[in-house]
Amino acid sequence: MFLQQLINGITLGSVYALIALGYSMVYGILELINFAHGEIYMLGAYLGIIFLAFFTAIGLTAYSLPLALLLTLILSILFCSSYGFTIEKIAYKPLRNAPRLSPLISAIGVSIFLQNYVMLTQGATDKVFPNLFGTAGFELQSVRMTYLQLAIILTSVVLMVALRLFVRKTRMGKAMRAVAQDKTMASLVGINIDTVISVTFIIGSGLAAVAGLMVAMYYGLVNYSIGYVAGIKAFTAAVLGGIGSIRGAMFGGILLGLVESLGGSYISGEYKDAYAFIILILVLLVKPGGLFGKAEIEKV
Amino acid sequence: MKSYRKLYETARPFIIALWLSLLFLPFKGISAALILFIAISVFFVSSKYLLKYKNTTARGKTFAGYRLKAAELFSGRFSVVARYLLMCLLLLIPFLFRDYFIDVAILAGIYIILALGLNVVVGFTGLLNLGFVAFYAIGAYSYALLNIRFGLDFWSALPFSVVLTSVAGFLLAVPALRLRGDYLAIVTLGFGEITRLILNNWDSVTRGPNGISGIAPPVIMSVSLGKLSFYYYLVLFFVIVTVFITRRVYTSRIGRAWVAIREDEIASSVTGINTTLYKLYACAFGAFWAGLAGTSIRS
Repeated sequence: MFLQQLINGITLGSVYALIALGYSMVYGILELINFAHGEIYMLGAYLGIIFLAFFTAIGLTAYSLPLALLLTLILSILFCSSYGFTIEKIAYKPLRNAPRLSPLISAIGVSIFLQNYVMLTQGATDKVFPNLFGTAGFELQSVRMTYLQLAIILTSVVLMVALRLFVRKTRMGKAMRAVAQDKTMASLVGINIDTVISVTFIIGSGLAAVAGLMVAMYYGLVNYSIGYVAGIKAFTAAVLGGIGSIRGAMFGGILLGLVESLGGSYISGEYKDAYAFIILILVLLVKPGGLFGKAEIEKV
Repeated sequence: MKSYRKLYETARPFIIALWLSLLFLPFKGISAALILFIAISVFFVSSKYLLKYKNTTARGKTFAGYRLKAAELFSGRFSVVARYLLMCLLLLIPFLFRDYFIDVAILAGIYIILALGLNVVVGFTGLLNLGFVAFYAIGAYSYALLNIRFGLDFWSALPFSVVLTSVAGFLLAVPALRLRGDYLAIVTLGFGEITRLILNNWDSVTRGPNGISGIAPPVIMSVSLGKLSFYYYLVLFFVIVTVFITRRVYTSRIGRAWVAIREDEIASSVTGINTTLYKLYACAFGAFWAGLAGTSIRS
């Protein structure tokens, strides 16, 4: 039972980690809590369903399922990244020099806009993701793990490793770290701030798209409101791990998934959403910067 | 090179329109995306020609320029007349408009009280509180429970529920004192969500998702204020009280302390303001008005 919930928790947690990475990266660079990020995740889920339906309609799914899924994944990543890029250009770029509260409210506005956008265009009822995998899985000493769960965990791990390599080894990754440290100095050294910020949003939105698609496959149902709840939880995960830190987002996401899964099964299923916040408040009381956060030294 | 630039400039509205309609494509289909493309192109091209005739000065473009323009409208002798006219209009709304609009006006009044309470916490003191609506819920539920379970009518339950909300604001602020801006935001958001979950799931006390119904409306001198137009005047009275008190507090010693904390916390504590105490005051004071707003919702 405990191991089963552990597996469920890690699966859920890796999804949260992917979304939390987007929050962390954007905060690290812009000091902005991107409330619209949860909606990008929701868009990814919807786009996954839409593209899969399109490929089914033109007969590609019957011809070759893996190809259809791969194309769905690629297309939904492309579209969500484009949405993230567009949102940044429209809603956040003009407010770069505004006081801190303005982009925050703009983000809330974008979140409301995207929710209603999907509600009006796709309808307010739940949308179903076709059940392609069933519950095919394997058993290991009374612990059951479906292939889908394994795929989710593996995909998340691969993406997180890829992101870490990208940020550590490539020039653009170095530029992102530089802009996160000190925007003015980075621009003086010759880094194009706009490009770096756009790349950050693109990568973050792409990860959220993957998370959305995987959740659509896992739960089978999507709704225009899933973005809000997942967004709050992923943001909590990012803060838990220390906002601005990529390692923290990954760790916080998985920890959050575990807490939610174990707490939901052992303590009470009704207050499942609350355990995340309780853990967060406890951690922040002890370590105000989050688990991997840098100690904020306030300059006088 | 220059010709490329010119080409880009003329094609820019169409590129933007194409991009946005491509983004719209998966959601509504090709015909809708095509319509959007045409609409956006027309909008951009027409606005380019319409804006040419606008004489924008440097002052007109800046933030301060816009603020000055709005302020000019409400200054001078015109403003005094405008203010009295507006006040008369507010008093006459139930006679001039039909029921639906009075309902909207009541809702607006309650949101005004809520916003003024939030203004104290976020605006005066700079404490970003994203879970402020939890106090609104606590105010509403406390009045509902006091009415249903103990039989208190509106005017005797009002001080209890408002003070209870204020105490809740005080208590919920205590763990959040040490946190800086964005961590405070997420913790307060968490408090809001926890409150929502508790109120929704604690079936024995709050009747869970079913809610509480049949709450008595306020009564003055044995005249029930349940009628819509009477209720409007009650809410108007509360709004006036709230606006008056918050404005007076802003210019008082406490209000100045709050503004000082917002501007620079370290400097204000250096000059002798007990920041902890004043932050708690701010949260309690803001929650007070949220409780008032919550108690006043017309069920």
